[in-house]
Amino acid sequence: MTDSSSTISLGFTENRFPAGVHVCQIISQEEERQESLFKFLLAGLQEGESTCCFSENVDEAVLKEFLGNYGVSFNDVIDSGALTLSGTREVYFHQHIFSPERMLALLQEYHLKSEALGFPNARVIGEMLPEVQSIEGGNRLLEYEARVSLLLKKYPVTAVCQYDARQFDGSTIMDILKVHPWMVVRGSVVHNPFHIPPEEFLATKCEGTCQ
Amino acid sequence: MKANKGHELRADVLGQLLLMQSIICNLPDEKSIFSFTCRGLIDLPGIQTAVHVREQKPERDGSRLSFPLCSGDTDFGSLVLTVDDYDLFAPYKDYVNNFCFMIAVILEERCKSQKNKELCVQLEKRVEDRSTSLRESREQFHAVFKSTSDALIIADESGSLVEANEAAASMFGYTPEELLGLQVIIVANLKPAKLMGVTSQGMVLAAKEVVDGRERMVLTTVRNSVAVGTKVA
Repeated sequence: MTDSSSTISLGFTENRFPAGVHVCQIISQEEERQESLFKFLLAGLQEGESTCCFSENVDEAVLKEFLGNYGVSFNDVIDSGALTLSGTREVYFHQHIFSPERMLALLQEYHLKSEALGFPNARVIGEMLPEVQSIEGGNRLLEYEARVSLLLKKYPVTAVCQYDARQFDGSTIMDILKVHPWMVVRGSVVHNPFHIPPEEFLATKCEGTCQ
Repeated sequence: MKANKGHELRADVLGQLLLMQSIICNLPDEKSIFSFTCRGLIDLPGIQTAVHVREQKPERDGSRLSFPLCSGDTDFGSLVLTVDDYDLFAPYKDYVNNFCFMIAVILEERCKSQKNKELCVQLEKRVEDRSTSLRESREQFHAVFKSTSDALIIADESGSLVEANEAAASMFGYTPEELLGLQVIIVANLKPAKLMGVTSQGMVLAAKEVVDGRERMVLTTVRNSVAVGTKVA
């Protein structure tokens, strides 16, 4: 796998970024969510990356047509393992528990597996569901996001986390922003001024919930 | 950047205010906007708490600073910040003031946009109601038009027949379809006369011929289109 100094395209913005960036996208419309998601997957597949998506809202037929329009065969990328589609609930809320440790282990394993299979980079886009706010372990969401930032320094999986502003309270959105070093603002990816470095966040901000 | 009283004006704090403004545009409603904003503002230097209140408050009340959320005639209350270190916060005060004004502008735009949407829905409903009413009225008219025993024809602005009922067709010896499109000559300035109890001032010019011992009318038409109102010479 290429080192973390290589740059990648996120698909929904023209700029290139170091592999392993951790980006937060606050969405307010379904079209916006799907467009970014499809473009992110397409860019990964076009660059030959291992590409993964956790979402409850991907219509495979629509994605197939979208990729086909760019000369990417949906069946081929699924068969080759370049593209993996999974439901958010299945991955994040396994056995109705949100476990940061399990998720971080999955991410690490995904990176190592992609590397072993010869992919130049790996990427994942995940849509967080509002039920994380009530599920067991959901109060560790911010800790999880901070630890993802730490993990990606060692295992540079490019990660985009989608949060629907209509389904999360405004103050939660602000808290979520604080644990993502990059954010998407009106289609542009910018350095997040709210970001609290994960080491600092984990040491000071999530006392009582961090394990 | 240097601010007053020797405190540094931090670029990241200003960037934070700018980005908050951009993100606010993505948030769905007032509740979400204020909850997001208040959570963000407590990160400003010198600020302890931030709350949104519905009413206007005095600009300064002890350790509390109030920032109005007004745009034009629209008042969205104010943001009240509890300041625990005024000197630290002072360089940002004007920026927060501008930020609050921008929130009010965004909210006012949303209100206007919402009102426009509601107006559009109302207008669409009115158009739909009128269209339904017009359609029903036309249907009623056509039912009467078709079933009446009076011969009725309708000509368009160019004088061409666009509708004719069975009675008219029967009277002229045509089918209703044969009458459509004919440009007939209607004399419309005759001396009023009562025909079958109805006052009439006009007539459709036609020739009367006898075929196989039966009388039939042949409507007089023009080869080339002539303007409505042209006098019969």
